[in-house]
Amino acid sequence: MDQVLAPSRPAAGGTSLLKASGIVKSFGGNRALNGVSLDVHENEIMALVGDNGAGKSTLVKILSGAEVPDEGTIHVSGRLAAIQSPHDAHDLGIATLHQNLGLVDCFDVPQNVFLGRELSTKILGVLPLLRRAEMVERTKALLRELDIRMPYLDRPVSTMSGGQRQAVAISRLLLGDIKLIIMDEPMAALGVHEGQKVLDLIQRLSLRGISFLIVSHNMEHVMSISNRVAVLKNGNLVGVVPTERTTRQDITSMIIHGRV
Amino acid sequence: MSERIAVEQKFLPDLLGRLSSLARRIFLAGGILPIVLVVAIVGFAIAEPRFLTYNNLFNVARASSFLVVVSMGQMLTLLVRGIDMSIGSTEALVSVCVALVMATVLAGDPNAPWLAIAAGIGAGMAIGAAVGAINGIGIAVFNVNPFIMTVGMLSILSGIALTVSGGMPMYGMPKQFGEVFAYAAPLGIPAPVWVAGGVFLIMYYILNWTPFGRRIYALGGNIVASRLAGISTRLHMVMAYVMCSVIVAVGGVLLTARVGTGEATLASTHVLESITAVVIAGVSFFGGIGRVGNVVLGAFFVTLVTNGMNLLRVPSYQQLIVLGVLLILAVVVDQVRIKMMQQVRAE
Repeated sequence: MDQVLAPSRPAAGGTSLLKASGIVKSFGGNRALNGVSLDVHENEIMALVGDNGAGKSTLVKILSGAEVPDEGTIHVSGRLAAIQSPHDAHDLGIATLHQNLGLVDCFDVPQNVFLGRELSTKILGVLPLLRRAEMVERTKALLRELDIRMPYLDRPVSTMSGGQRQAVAISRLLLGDIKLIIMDEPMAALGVHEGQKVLDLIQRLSLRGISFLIVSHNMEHVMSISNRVAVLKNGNLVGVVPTERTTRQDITSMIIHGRV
Repeated sequence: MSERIAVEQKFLPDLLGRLSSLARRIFLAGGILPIVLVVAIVGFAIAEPRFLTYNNLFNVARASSFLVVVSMGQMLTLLVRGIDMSIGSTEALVSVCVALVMATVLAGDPNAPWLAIAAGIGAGMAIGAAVGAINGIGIAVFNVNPFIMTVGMLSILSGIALTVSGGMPMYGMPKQFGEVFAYAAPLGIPAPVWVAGGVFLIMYYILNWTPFGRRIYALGGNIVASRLAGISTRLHMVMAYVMCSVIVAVGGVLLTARVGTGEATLASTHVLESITAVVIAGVSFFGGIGRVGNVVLGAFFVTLVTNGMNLLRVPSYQQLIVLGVLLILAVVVDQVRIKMMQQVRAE
């Protein structure tokens, strides 16, 4: 079992996409992350697991730019990256799907897809003007490319099913040049059938060269979809193991006992 | 004969059924406003023939323009899931200061009425921006509940306006101010209506055709999602309140031109009326939903009701009761509409 404690051991694909080193983050006197180092490779689906309060959410927030670490460095594709905001992360090709999906319920699909990144031109060089038709067209093209089918795009997403909303949220992330998608409990609110659809979508996207870092409590999903599993406990990284060389029991034991 | 009765018996329920399903569809799509607007116009026209004359409608259009303007301001605060209870006292403070500045500049140089007018309007806009910035910063940065923040400001602004004016009307503005901004009517359309139309066009453009406007809606719809999408939510929230108060200041300037004096008790009914107008227009209290065109109609409707009641000689005290009932009903009906929409969704 020694060899599995190995961020040094590259998985299939090999080169490092996102490398976090010695990440420390405290909230008040509470140390949420205690020097965590993690390396996500290109073309890999990495699962991030751990008990409640292990520091998963904090780590995810830091990698996605929602929080800034107290200490530690992040390298993206080998280059030192200063991620101060979700915008910075997005510019580096890192996008995050949050548990609540980050959708505006009263907005339709194109409005959500382009949320915060609205396309506009300047009229007379100064006055911005939304390119609404173009946003609708590009949303259609994007959904077609991802093989996501939706009955209608021009209704509020609050009228849609959980799986459809998830698909909107994921396609939203893929606008632009995205290399890594971070997901916080992506299947938590979905039924079995819809959850499977989202897993299929993740697998399809990973075949197109997109890496995933997925936080999940669902061991079945973790085992079925990931290439490697990273385990956190009390703000420390317990270890990173290749999924095919481990079992659910091993991982559960790492989560509970904090060792391999 | 019996055939005819049968046809009538079939026809009448059929017609009623169609009418009610049409009303239902209009209600779901546009809220209560189109229905009550038609009911009010037909009702007042039947009860009082003078209601539908050109002169009266001209009067209603002019009288409504003040409320139309401030309601568009109020709308912005509801869009970001807030409220502005201080708009009436903002108008009052603007009125007092506009009058003070104009009178002072005019006293310094009696031959420069336009300089006085420009200085007065500039001061009014600046006060609006400052009030909005204080409201917005209190709410967005210090997390004061919007209702509490703006009720506090209501008291503060009203106190300042009364202190500055000593509780008396303030005279000494150039007569051109009223002539142009209240009584001029280019192309037969009153000046305040022109201004309201201008504010409407700007609001329509900003809310529907700019990234900023879309982010205002996004912020009201889901502030967390907006922040995660990289939108600077605090800045947008503050800007919404600044825009609101500047627009309200425009209303204050117009009203001051209309009454001809600076008044510290101006527009005290505007808070209630603007909230009624905005809610009847289908702007959600929960943020993110509402169209500026409907708000214009909503404010027009509220003025229309007041005007109709005046023509019918309903005493002003009882008009207050009607307005209060209208506001509460509008909110109740909005809730019913949301429930019905969810049912439609479930179907």
